[in-house]
Amino acid sequence: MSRQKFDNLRFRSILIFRLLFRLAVLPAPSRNSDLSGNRPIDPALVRQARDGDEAAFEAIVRLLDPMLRAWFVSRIGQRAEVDDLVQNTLLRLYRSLPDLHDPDRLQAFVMKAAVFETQDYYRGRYGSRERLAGPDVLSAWSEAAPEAGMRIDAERALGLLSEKARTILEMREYGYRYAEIARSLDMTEAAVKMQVKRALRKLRKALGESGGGNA
Amino acid sequence: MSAPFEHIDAIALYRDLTPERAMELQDILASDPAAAALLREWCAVRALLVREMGEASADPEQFVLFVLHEYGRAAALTDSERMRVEEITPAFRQILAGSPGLEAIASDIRRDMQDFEAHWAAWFAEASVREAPASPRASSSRSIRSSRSARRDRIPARISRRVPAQAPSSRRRVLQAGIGVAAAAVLATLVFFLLPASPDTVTVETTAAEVRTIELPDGSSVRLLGDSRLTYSPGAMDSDETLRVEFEGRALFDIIPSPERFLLVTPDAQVTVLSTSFGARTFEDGTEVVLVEGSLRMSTRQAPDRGVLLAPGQMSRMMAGVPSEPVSVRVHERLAWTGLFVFHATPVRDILPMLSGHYGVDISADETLLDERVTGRFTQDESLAGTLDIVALAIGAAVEQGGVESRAESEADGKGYHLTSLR
Repeated sequence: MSRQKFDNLRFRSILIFRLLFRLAVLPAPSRNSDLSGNRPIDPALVRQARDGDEAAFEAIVRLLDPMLRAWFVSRIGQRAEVDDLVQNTLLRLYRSLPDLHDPDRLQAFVMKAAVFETQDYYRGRYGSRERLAGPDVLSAWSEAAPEAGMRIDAERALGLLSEKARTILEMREYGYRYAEIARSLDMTEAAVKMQVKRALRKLRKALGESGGGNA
Repeated sequence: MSAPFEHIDAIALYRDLTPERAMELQDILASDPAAAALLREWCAVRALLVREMGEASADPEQFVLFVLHEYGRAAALTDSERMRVEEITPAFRQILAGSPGLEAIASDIRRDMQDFEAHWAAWFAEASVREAPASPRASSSRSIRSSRSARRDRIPARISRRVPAQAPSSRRRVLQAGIGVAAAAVLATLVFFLLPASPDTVTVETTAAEVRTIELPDGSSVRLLGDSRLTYSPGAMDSDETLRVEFEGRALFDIIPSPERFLLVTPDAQVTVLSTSFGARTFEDGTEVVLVEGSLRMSTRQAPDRGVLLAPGQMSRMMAGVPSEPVSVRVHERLAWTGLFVFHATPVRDILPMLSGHYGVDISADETLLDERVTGRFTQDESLAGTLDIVALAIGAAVEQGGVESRAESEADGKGYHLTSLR
């Protein structure tokens, strides 16, 4: 079993254990266990968790879970994916604990994990419902190299793109879904797609002007 | 070239089609060589974009780490991550400078990062005022809560702190406190209405979707964009002092020539202005200034005499307490966030594609006009015809409608525009 799979199982077993046992038996910590300063989580607890104390990590999870849940809901709304986003953020934190030499950096580590997961969400890695078939079905066409002697080189075509169209296409190639591109650029999804269509029309026009084409 | 026009939308979005639409397109590609050629070209263009984004696109996690590091969040990185990021930083900076898409994604990451930190602080600060810990069941609940419902969960906890104080045993104390509060409120109201109002400073704030234009005491104006805040002293001009403006957010400043100095102060930078027009944006860990015209010097607040001098068309960023060397930028692109078309000696050949892209209408011009330069600014919700009329007037041209291949979704009833030289 790989180290990563082992970590996953171990982490999930902690969560299950918590659900079955801790709810009724152990008192919950307050959200702020160190009220004296800006350390919402006791550094000693963080050290214990880093050193392998699973009860300590579990206590941290119970502090972070509702905070993370509220943050993800504020980012993406009440979606089923929120559960997975929270779980995977905590899993990332769990894996990175051995590198957390300074407990005061816990917030930064949690933030990094949450941003990673949010990026994954923006890049469509959470929504199987939205998985599309285009690339698979069309791979034979899209992966074929342009024919020799075709009319226009890609670099010139790039020069034809408006700044907005280039921004959108780059974000899409990076992996952002159109809905997320629209959110990020403060546009409607329809307007984003329209920019892409216009970009292709411009390319097609340039192809026509340069006398190319097969038919 | 035969025109696969009717299939063009499907080709444009070929990666995002439903299975059914993808199958339809596959049939079309098999029977229409022109459509297949166009798809291959389209894929080649997109592949080139991916190549130009290099490692930043190939390894998104690396890119996130780079952005965190770049915006002062090195504490979030493990030692090995930091070493790796320091290695790739020069290359990534170069890629980022030439990639508007990655720049937008970096902004997205930065927004999430800042939002998370604010959320963390608010969440735990609110918890810290609670006297009693949450009940075990509430604190370990697995149900999904919206931030609104989460807030609802917390508000009763605050109210519950007051309930014991209002119990019958302390009714007299509550009554005394109530009278005290009422008296203080009456006194405050009297003070507010009777004393002359002479505020030392004026603060203007905008909400997220708000844009406001503010006139400053010296006649300068500021276009303040959403989520911004500006504070100044209205009496500064009377006392011949420097007009000091504290600012956070995004704004376009138009400072009129004045013997008085104008000083813009952001959380980490100081901008000394003579007479000028410039855009400024502050981030949690930096300030960006783009100079349209005039001159200004950007420095740290601690060492105002040591800074960089910007020329028109240049940009500088204050990062980690150091102003970057000014670099020349395309002002109209850099200031697109202002919601204006800001042109400063901008050639017509740059203006036309911008207007064309924004309005979705083909616009062309005589070859002799393309190098003419235009200075001015237009709101982006102005009609295209109105904007073109002014541009044409400035360069000695006439606007003709039609005569250019139109686009299906043209806002000009399917007609393009052409600028014809009158000289």
